[in-house]
Amino acid sequence: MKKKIVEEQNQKLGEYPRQVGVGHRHLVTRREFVGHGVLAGSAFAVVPSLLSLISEKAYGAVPDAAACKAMQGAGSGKARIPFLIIDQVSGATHAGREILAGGGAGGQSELLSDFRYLGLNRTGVIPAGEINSTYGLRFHSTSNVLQGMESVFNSPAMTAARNNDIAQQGGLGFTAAQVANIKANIDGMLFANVSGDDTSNNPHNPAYFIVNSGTRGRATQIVGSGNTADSRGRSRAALNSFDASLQAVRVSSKADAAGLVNAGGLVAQLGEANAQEVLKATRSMSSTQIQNFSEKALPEQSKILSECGYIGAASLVEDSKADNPDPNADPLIKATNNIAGVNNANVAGGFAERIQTMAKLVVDGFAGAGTVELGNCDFHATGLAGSEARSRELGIGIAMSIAIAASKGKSLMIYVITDGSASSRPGNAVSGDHVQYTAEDGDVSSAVMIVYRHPANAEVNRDTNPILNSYMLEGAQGRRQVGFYRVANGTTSVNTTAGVVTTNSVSNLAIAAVANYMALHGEDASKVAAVVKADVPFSSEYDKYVGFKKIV
Amino acid sequence: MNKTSLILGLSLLSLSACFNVTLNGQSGKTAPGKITPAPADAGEETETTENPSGEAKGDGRVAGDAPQSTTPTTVGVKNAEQIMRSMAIVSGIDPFQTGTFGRNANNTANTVSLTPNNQNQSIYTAFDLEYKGVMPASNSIGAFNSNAQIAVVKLAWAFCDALGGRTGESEVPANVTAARVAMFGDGHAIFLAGNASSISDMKTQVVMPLIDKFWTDGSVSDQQVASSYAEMVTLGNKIAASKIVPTVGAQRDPLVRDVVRAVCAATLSASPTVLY
Repeated sequence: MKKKIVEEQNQKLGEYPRQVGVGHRHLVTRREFVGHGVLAGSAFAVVPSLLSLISEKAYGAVPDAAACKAMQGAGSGKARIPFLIIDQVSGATHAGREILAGGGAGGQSELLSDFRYLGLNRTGVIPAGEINSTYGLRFHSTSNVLQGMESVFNSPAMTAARNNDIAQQGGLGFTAAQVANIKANIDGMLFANVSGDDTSNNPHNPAYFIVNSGTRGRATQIVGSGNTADSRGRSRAALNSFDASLQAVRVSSKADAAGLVNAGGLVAQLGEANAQEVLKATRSMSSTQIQNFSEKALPEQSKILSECGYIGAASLVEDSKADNPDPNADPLIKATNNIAGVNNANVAGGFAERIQTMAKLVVDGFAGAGTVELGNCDFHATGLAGSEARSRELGIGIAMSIAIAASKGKSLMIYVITDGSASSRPGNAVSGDHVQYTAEDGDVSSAVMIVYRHPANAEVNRDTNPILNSYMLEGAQGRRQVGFYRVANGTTSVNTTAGVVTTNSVSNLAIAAVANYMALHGEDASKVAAVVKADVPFSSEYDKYVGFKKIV
Repeated sequence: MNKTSLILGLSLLSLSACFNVTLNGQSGKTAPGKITPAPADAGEETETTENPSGEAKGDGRVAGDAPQSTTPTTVGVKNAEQIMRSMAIVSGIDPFQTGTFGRNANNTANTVSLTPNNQNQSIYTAFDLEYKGVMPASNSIGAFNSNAQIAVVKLAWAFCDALGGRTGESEVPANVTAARVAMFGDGHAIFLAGNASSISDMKTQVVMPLIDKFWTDGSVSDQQVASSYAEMVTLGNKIAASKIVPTVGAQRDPLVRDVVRAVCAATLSASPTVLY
């Protein structure tokens, strides 16, 4: 009977050619896995860097919960700025219609002379009245990203009174002056770069670098709402950054965040005390087996790490009673439900909920770095209205994240990436000042870094205390740009021949992202090199790529 | 001869005594008697052993020998799909079938999922939507962490809820009954409405089959089986002691469900199912 059931299940479960040969059942036992070569040297191809933190002498053969937390970098108390990635799926365009793009080394002080290839129906000099510098970085006044940000900061929910009763709907409780101060402590940079269109293969995502720079979560390390396994975003993890011990986990809803530390039906049906007994029993039985593995099969440090998986599971469930990552249990997150004046579920198929969830996890330190996907950003195919809607939603996501950080007294860095891009042409359909994108065009792609510095007091703003270095602030409008675009032969593209090493290398761009993040903490190129385990490719011109200053 | 028959055959009396003593709230024996070494796995590979004592056993092997069928070169963690498939195969529960979840205290269908209308979900749907993304994505041992283990426990609970979450034969899907028969043999009668088995009988009938069927793994030592058996009996006693319900007769059904599911989930989510 059992054999028949197993055979039927195997049929339903489908074939897995890599692991199961014709006429063989699915692998179940250790012997089968080893025998079929699943391991085949891969298990230790990546040596978890966390293992280097483990001291056998310090923790002994069987660590306790506190030791496991320490190994995982949790609870270190080291103040790090939360880091959030927004990954626009399939090729959005930021430069031009949204963020004014420079056509030379002067960056935003040397704007392109023809924006019609970048979605904005303008040639010649952009009138001063159309340049909006509310957030430091220069946006065109019709920018949808700008409008999205404004819709958040102008929302009545920003200044409505707080209510700590989760059953009630409160606001974020800022005064109008505080909202203005928040906006005055935002700045950013545009990176002109080429990336592959419509593919998850761009090694764009710096989350592992960020976590390895010392920004560790106490519930998990890397979270993301996407399906790409190594990053949980759209684009994959930066080259040479992947670390299996920091495995990115998928969190795409508030419920997923709660589930990180929630044992689900086990607790619901058995009760907390009995659920803990089950987890303890599992740990105890597993510990026996782990300790019995030979040193050759499982080195001592890996034994400790494995045991920490079981020990930490019980610990997380226990801790969650007082320290819960569930956004639905946080009145300040709930206060953002109506912050944009829209039902959050209607924003890009749940994008707002994902922003709330990820902001909760990274701002409150439950995760070290988080990635939120913004879907349907294939701008050459979305139509003009679609691309405008997605850009507006990006602005909502950026501002909502900043509002959440500000409400909790935290600074925040947001890194916006996309795979490829889209360009327009003179003569394309026009709506207002915007030109419809019609060409898939990774040659006009870009990434955006935005930093919110939580001010120590009302006197601090980016004019009195710049967030960017002097190089980025040079020129009438400041540079705020790395790399630039050029118009030639009836098209526009990123200039990849000007010696800017991030323009044609997504990998170098990811290093620039972590370098800028670490600069916010006052960490220099030598520390960046240690994190990325390579020479920093722009170390000789560091200030030209690393515009952010120390803010903590 | 498998682990069940070896252990139960040699130690049945002492084990039964242990259960009853513990259930009555008295301290007493804490472990079953000496376990005769057994094959690490009933697999097809030929095992060879040394014979230092020369004491022959009925199954053709020798007391005192640790089974050394293969020397594993290293250890990894199964990835999410491999864990799910392993659990499906060893439990006998079809992860694709809907309507298999058990009954809660209100005798309505359980929910193992956080999404709405989850009573009609299959285990695979819950796995795919909620657990998979947190479980190990690779076979590197480094991919096993606390979040992954919490997801593994939840997946194990889903299978165990299907396996033991209903009492009263008329409510149980036919293939779940088949899985119970395959798992527990005659012991599956504990799930039948009005069954008169005592809680101590139940533990005897479910704990060892779960360990035996779930841990079909050559790396699990007999010592681990013995200590885990004691661990599971203790767990069952704790669950039973926490419930203010009769321990015999029809009214014991909620207790049957909780003890079976707890022991099942603990065993199924332990390292022999997850690591390799």
